[in-house]
Amino acid sequence: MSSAATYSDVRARSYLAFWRTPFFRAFLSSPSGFLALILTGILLATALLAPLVLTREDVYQRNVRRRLEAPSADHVLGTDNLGRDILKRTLYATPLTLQLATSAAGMAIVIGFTSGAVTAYLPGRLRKIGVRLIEVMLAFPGILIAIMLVAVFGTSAEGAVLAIGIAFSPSLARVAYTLASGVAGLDYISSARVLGLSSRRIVFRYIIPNIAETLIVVSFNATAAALVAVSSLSFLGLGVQGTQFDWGRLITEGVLRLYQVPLLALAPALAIGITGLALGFMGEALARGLNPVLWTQTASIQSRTWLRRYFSSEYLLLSGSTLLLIVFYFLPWFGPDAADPDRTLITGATILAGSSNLTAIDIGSQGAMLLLRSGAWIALLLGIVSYFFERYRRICAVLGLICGFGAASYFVSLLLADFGNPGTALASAQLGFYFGLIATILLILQVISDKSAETRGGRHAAVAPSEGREAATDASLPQPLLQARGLTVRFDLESGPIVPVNDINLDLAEGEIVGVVGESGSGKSLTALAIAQLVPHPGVLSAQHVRLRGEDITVMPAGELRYFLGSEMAMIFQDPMSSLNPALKIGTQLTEATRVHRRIRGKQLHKMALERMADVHISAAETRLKQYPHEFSGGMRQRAMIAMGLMNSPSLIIADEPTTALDVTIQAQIIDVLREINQEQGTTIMLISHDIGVIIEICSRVLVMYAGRIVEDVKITELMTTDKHPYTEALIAAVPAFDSNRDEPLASIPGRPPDLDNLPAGCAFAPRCPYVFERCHEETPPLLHVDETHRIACFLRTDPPEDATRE
Amino acid sequence: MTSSQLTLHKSNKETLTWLTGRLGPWPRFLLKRAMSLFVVLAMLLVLTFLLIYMVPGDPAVRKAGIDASAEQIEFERKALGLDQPAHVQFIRYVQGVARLDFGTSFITKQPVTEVLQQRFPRTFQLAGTGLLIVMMVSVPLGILIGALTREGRNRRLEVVFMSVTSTSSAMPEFLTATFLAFIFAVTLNWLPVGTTQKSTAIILPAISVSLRPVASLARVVRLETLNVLAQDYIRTARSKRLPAYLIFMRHLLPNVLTAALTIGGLVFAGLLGGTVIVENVFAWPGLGQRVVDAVFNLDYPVIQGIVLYFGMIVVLINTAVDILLALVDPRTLVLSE
Ligand code: SF4
Repeated sequence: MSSAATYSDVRARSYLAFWRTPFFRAFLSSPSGFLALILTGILLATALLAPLVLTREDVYQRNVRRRLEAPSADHVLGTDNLGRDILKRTLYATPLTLQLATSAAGMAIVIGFTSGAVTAYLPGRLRKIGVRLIEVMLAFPGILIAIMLVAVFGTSAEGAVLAIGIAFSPSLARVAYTLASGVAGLDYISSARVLGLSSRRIVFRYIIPNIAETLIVVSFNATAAALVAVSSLSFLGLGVQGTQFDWGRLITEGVLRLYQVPLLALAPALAIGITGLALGFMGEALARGLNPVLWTQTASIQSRTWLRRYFSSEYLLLSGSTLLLIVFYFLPWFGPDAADPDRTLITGATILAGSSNLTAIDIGSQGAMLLLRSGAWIALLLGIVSYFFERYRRICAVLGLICGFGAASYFVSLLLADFGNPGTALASAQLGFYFGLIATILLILQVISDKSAETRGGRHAAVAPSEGREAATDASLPQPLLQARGLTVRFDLESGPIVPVNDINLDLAEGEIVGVVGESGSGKSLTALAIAQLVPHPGVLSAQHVRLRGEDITVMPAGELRYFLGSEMAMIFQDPMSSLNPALKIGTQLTEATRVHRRIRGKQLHKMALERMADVHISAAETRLKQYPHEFSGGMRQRAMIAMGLMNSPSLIIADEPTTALDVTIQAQIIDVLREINQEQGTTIMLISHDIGVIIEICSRVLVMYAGRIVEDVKITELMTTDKHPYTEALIAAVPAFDSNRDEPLASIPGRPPDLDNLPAGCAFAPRCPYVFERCHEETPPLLHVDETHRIACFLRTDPPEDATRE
Repeated sequence: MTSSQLTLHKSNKETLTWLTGRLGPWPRFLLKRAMSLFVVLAMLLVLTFLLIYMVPGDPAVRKAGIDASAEQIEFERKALGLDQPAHVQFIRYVQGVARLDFGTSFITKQPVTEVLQQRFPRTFQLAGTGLLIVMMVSVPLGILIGALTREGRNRRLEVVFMSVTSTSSAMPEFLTATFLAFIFAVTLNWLPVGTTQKSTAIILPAISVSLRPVASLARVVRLETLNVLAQDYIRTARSKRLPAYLIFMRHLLPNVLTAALTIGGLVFAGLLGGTVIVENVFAWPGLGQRVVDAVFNLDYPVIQGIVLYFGMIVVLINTAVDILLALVDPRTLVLSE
């Protein structure tokens, strides 16, 4: 309740400041939002300021004496073949480029969206033709269409914009068509229409908000694509003409002189790249901002997390070391002496430091350069490792930051050092030494603390749940086919750990059919997967042991386990349509496991497959084996699935809701087949179902699960007669009559199914239990024997309170 | 009268359904494909024919030259057939195309067919190498990343993959080309540019052309891998304890490849578009370079010929992809009904 209050507080407060609105939070919830803001800001500022600050002279005035110059204080990025400043020209081209790109995109959007939306409302046949037309247009490369259209509209900036506007509209038309035909069919639109709302209101109140998110992303992507296309055309000489220039045209000039002044092409190329990124990020972030689902999530995250995420050590490390490397490696290439970049860097450092003593740069400082670069490299490597491998993250982060910092400090010391003075060189060397020392100490400390954390965690995990009680009973019983002790599955989620399978102990005897029943979320299917060692990621399975035929499969080596389970255990799943591979023939799927595990092939294998098909009453097996799953009926598919399970004559079949997806008569068939197999081949079956009716029909014993635990283990024959767990009572009461339609038998159990995130202390069933009393809220009831074969986890049955017995 | 017409109409329709109903799924499928291929080709012909009418200016003037006399222009008009009514011109155009005669270049006076013969092998070489790179890189990469990031594993790898691919799929070919040329030709001096003499000359253009399709296809393949890995039948295969290579080769790969093939046509179209640009960056003497020249000089027959040629390639590739899909995945035949 307190969390709800804070949440509404957050919302109420959040609208006071723009940066606290849910929109903006969601916008910023990933680094791309952050980058989008910064990049777009820079771009817009450039586009607005460049024409004001730069005069025509700045960008057009030729100065042949200073042509093709390398970067210098006068010309930060050097000059072009006519001696004009590259940086100024690149900046000056910004507004024109953006203008062309946005107008081309605008045209494409207007044409595309209207034609797409109109197509969606056309009558049947015309619509089909329209859609086909859009598809055909889409198949052709857009840029080629644009080039052809330029011939029609003429080679000019306007021609290029028109050509691209038309050539790129089909993809937008398709998006609009999909959206419009999807939205128009929605229920709430038709109900709004019935209510008599005007079309305009419907469009603005219902349709636009629903498709806005997609439209925005698509529009930004279209703008990025248009930018690329306009630049491509200009680059090819088919766009901007005359004295005008945009980035594409600048690149044309640059490519010719790539060997002399690479920056001439690289500067506008980078500008296009950055703008493309900014547009992509902006679209992505806006879509996130407009997605209401994210509002609630990000509101609860608060602002601290994303900031911390951005500036976490591994991000800093990665970005910092990359930056250092770029500075150290690539900048010198643009210096006056491209053949000797080191010298350039050192010269630069010396000049920056205000020293003119160039001759004093000696071998010592060359060594320092080497150290400096390797430092940056090591930092980058460690950054990458720390980014991907959580285990080594802290070590790498610490080490890498030190290396990076060391490299940076060398750089600073280089800047400040008077190279003629051996004393300063010594000082830098000492500095490096101390950094190294600190790094080593920190590394050792880190390793020690990690180690101790690991052993602590390890011991904690090894603490076995509920041991002693069961051990005594084990010895007296004959060895069961399957025995699981302390079976637990745990998911460590960001919101905290959940335990959907909690300390399960179960035995299955040879030849038994045991049912497992429970609502969805009770952990019954996951229990089956845990027994089969197939727990899905990121679930973690732990158990004292799971013995099948006396072999503990939790400690078996992988290769052996594969063979052992492959021949001893088979699984049958709920939906036979999706559980069979649609692209493979039934025969292949039936036989592949036998081929692998038992190395039977050829005629013998084929004969086996035919026999198994006969076992499950599939006639004309010979042709059936050659067919694909989509040629089978639902019931037949499930029987084929069972036949597949039988191929290796397993001793245990785990059937997870095998009848749920089928209709009632087919259900009965499947149940019969399972019963026959059990009787004729003696196969043990574990049948999982949410439907206690099915279980009563076929099983000899039932395990009732609730919130990840077994709450009752009882023979079917006793189910109707003895005192039961309150949950089992509710389950049975919810079945209207055993032979009537049982599609939704569980709908009427009062109360809400357990929420694994938020289980109450004590008995998990307490919130819904009609008999609940004080103790139920304090302790978790253990699963205890009430007689030889009957176990219950309920205080009411195992340790009844005084007033309850009186009742 | 009307009723008999109606029955006739109806019986016609019935005959048609009867006929198609009689055919097996394969002939029916091929018939449909052939019909749509025909329609699209016809559209292509009409569009390229109309090009001449849409382009501003008089082609006859263009061909005769700016300072030609009225007689010369009239002569050229006759020679081009422009004095004929539109439908006659169109028929002549189609006949010409059928004879693989696309006319003569206004500028170089070279037959367009010859231009195509000369230039196309270069374009094919580039696009083919590009396609090879796309297939060899994006499919394994997409599957690998998909397998590593399944069920939300390796979140960080996913972030890196997504940002790298989204950056590179938004990267125009001529930028890639410029950067690559700068790094490998200018800075490192490993590979040549601006020549077709050396066998290594194709490396940089081919990479530039394929980077974008590689990125977008790798994304699709990864998504499809995730999709397939989350399917129930993969769980079934795992419950059968099949060895990893079998799960991969038999259950995962065919399904992923089918999905990759579905967008194969689009990928190829993108590749072809990229070729046009990259040829101009690296002075690669293919059709792309020629078409830009032609547009610049309003050399109609060459534009027409090249656009038609590219168009036909795209259409044929798409049809081939459809047929291939039907071969690989038997469900497509049924679904295309
Ligand atoms: S332990 Fe208490 S709350 Fe739980 S089922 Fe028994 S009586 Fe109900």
